[in-house]
Amino acid sequence: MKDFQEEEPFRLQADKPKNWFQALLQGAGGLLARGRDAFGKRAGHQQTETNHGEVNQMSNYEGLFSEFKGLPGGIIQSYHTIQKEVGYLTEEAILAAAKVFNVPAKNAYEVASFYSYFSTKPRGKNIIRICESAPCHVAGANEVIAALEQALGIKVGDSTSDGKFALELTECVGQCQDTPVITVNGQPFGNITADSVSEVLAQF
Amino acid sequence: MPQELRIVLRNVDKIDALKIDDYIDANGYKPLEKARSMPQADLIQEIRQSGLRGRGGAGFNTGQKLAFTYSAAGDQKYIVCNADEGEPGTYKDRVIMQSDPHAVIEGMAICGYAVGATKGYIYCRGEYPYVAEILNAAIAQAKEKDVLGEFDVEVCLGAGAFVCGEETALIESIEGKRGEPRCKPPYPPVSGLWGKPTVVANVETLANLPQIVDRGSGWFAAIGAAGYPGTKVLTLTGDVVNRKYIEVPTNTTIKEVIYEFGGGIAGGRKFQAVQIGGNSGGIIPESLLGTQIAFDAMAAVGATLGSGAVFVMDETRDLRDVVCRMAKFFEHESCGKCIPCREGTMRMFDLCEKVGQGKGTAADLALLQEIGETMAVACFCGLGQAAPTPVLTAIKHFDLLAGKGCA
Ligand SMILES: Cc1cc2nc3c(=O)[nH]c(=O)nc-3n(C[C@H](O)[C@H](O)[C@H](O)COP(=O)(O)O)c2cc1C
Ligand code: FES
Repeated sequence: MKDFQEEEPFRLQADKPKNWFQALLQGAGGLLARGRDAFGKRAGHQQTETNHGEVNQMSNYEGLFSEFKGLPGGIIQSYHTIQKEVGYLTEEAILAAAKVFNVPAKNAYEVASFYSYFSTKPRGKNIIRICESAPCHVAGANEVIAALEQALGIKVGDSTSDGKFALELTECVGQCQDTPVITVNGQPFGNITADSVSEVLAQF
Repeated sequence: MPQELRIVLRNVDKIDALKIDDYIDANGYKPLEKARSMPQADLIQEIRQSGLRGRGGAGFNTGQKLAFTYSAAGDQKYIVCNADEGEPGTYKDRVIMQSDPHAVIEGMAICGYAVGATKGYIYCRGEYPYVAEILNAAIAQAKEKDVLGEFDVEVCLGAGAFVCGEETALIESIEGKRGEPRCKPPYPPVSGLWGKPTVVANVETLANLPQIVDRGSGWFAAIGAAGYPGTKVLTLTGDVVNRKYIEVPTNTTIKEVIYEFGGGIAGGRKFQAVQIGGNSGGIIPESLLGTQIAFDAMAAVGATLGSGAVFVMDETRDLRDVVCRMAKFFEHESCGKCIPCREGTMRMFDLCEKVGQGKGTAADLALLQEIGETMAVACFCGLGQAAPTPVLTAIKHFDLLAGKGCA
């Protein structure tokens, strides 16, 4: 906390977009390093080993983050962007966000931990979520859970060791005309059966 | 045979959602022009007289809400569209936004003019990134066509928290914070987003507005049940033959919904129970199927209309298991701000698990009832207040200890 009290508060200023990016980019650099630790080279960023790759990755971030420039309350939207690129929110990213959005670090952590779609731990690249709300539950969500656990060789809450898939539970994703439903990276797949699970997985 | 009446779904399969010209050809954005030709107070009065009440669950008169926001002092005011749609079994707002995004945007612009707000936010749940894309495309088209005038709209993507559907939690979330509800009063029309007067309205509510402005309050007020006029979009799930969405006048009965529109119970089995309004709704036995799907009619039988989800359970379903699943939902979604909800949802889930395993006793049911009744009055926000509803109504109407097919 000392850092934040002693430093000149980092404010969002329309005429200083560079500082804003830099802070987030710092976070992004940390994110990439962590992503490698967790999953080796297969964390979904093939070029991150080389400097060239990191530069490319960072300039991508610049493009992505520019969307939130000067957006009040944009911390949640920026977390979405970080997660889309790297898969989860690292400590560095959260601290960088705190500076960029000029909130105490505790608040940035609070936001990161509150929302079920944000993860502060590394996880597989493709996030599979199984809906377990009542309509999906009675339509056989438990069998879908069992089939996915078997196909991936992991339990709900874990990621495959190659870093390719993460398996999570979710509440209703609003596709209840086709229960039971799963989503992969937000994309819904309906009327899932134990047999169709492998067809969905094969697409990723 | 009762018929569907499509007001908010009028353009489904008729226009290309991503072509603003299609929408304009279907009389789109003309109601906004008409609204802007009226004095603000007259416009608000017209909406109030239509009797339109919120479709997000609380059933507040929309014109009244606009009037409060109009009268509140503020240099800036906001219109927030609640597209969080978190009640399990509900996808009506998604259908509206995917098929006719401009109707929602136009509804927001009408509200904006009525109360003097130039900025709107659509809070779209994180589960619908593909809907957010459609909304963003529609907003871009509306700006390019310059149909919104000085009114600006922006999409905010949520991140998976049911409580963010509660209007003040939603506002906190737009402000970039944890989605914990605020103390009310002050209500959003007085102090909402960034402390400014704010209208928070549901997607379906907003999509009704262009039609009301166009065709007049008298036309709308004459449709459906008198106290809750208009139509309701319902989503049918569970053991019903047709798992689909429908839009029907609010004087349609639950029985008609399940048997006429839903085609009855799947597999030729018998009806056991239906839950309306999502997880926060009551579990309704066969004896109450004559109830109209209107706000007050549902409340009168101890149920809710809520989001309009219709979850049908046939005779083979073990209600203990279903109710336990619902209790787990609330245990997971409680934001933890207030103790009655944080502790209560956890205790209720524990007890429901025990009952679900067939180990429940009469004392457990009595305890569930006591906790539930306490939560209904002591919880800080609507999440905790409504959380016991499925359990309490299941205990009231069914023999939960008997289990399967226990009606
Ligand atoms: C826990 C909880 C969840 C809610 N979820 C939603 C929701 O997903 N969508 C919605 O429109 N209203 C939801 N509401 C109701 C809102 O607080 C608010 O009443 C509504 O958005 C007002 O709009 P309306 O008047 O058009 O219904 C929820 C309320 C509570 C307590
Ligand atoms: S209940 Fe599973 S998608 Fe709605």
